[in-house]
Amino acid sequence: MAEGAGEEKKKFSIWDLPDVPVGQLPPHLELQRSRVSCNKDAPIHTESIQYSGAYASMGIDNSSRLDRFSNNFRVEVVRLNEDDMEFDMIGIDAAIANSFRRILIAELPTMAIEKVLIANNTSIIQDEVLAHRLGLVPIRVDPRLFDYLSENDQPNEKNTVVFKLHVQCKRGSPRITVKSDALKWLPNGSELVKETRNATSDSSSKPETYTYFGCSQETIPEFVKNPIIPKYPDIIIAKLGPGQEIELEAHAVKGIGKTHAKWSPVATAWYRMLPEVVLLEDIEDDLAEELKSKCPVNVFDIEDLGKGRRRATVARPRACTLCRECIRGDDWEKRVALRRVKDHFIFTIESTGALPPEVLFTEAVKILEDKCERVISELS
Amino acid sequence: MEHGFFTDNSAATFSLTDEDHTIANAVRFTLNQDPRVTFCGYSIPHPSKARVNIRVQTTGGTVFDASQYAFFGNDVLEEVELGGLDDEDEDLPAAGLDEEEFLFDQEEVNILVSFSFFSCFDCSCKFLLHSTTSDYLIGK
Repeated sequence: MAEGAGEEKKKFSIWDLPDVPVGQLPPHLELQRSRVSCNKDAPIHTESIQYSGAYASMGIDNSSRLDRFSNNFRVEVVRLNEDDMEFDMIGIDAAIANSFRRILIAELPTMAIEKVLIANNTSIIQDEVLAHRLGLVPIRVDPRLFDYLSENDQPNEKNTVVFKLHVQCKRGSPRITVKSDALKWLPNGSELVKETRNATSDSSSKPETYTYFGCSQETIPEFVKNPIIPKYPDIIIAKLGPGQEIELEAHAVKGIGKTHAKWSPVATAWYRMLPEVVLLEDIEDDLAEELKSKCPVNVFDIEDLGKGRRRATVARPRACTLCRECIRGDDWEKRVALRRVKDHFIFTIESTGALPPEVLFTEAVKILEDKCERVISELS
Repeated sequence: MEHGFFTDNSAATFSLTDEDHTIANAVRFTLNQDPRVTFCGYSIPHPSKARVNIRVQTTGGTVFDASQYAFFGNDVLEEVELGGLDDEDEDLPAAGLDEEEFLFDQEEVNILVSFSFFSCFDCSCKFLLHSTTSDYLIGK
């Protein structure tokens, strides 16, 4: 009987089975590769399968090639206001999305007040607290028009913006609140005169101030119609009682968020993966009502099937906040599956006002490109 | 500023200064996708110091064709070879490996296969730049 057994052993290939898709991954592996399954206790399959040979034994190529990437990658803008923006990036991985988020927060330059020259401060706010608060005020100016000020440079019209603040609360008048609209822009540079050692210097020459402006910043075409002011005029800087006075000059320079958070151009920037809510079985009638009422953000809807029967459907999966209310309780995990799509990111950028959010994102891409080019040039 | 270490022509550790997770994670991901790479990872030796080490191990045996990258000009290998390093030995710093600075060996033709990833990554970033501006305009 050995020969009989030998003849029956034909070559068996799994690909010959009728319901295994050829050329792609079987559905359970595709789920594992492209979705994060959010279970009741913790999410699973969270890591992205980057290794190009991960599915080599099945004959599937997991490597990402530039042409496939360029065919699949999309950006869709959902909302675009003056100060914030929400858009989707599809076809990208978490590593690169995170790089953009980090660059948006820490490596995009802005202008912020750095040096504060205080001539008179009789208020109850201490000098350093006042200077700290002034540094955090966002200024509405395009930082790309300015250069960085390094230690050896002198402050001039290309790298410094000068503001003046002079408020006084007269005796007998009620307390006043100093808001950020009290900061006045000085396009001609500093007005505080430096003390020079030479008492004999001729009085006809211009006194030396703390900045060396060659020309007025008002002559620069971008600032002719748009004076440089703080973005929000109602930020409270200090409060003055009767008889108190503040007189100071503030110099704003260019910097990045890595050095100090005052130079971060975004209030914040964040991303989340697209939620996917799947009903594993038909949910009807009472269970459907229960499911719809459970969800705090109304992801589910009821549809009528006729003859008084109702069924639950997933209407707004994008609104899902992953509170897991719909899988709390007995048996609900078998009916509802919460997942996240691994390569679809919903980015939200809230700008503080220096630059509009779409410009911020394109600048962030340029900065990532610059980093790569720097590494390439160093290598060669 | 990066250096590679190799008695072995198919693997190297690149040490980048003034960099952090921002670029290292993105490069690591893109490298892992390349079928010629067997291992790629990065580490940050100390969080207070802005330095990151990226380790790449490849299958070896492939030669870098620089002609497709305009950056390197049309000359294939001559420009990329780091000349004048024949005399330097591979010295490990006596104080230990915490600095992880290694010197190039002269025969590093095969390691240049790893350089292609930077160009790939650079291309993908340039592509991202294009797609971001044009697609958002269309999507809007």
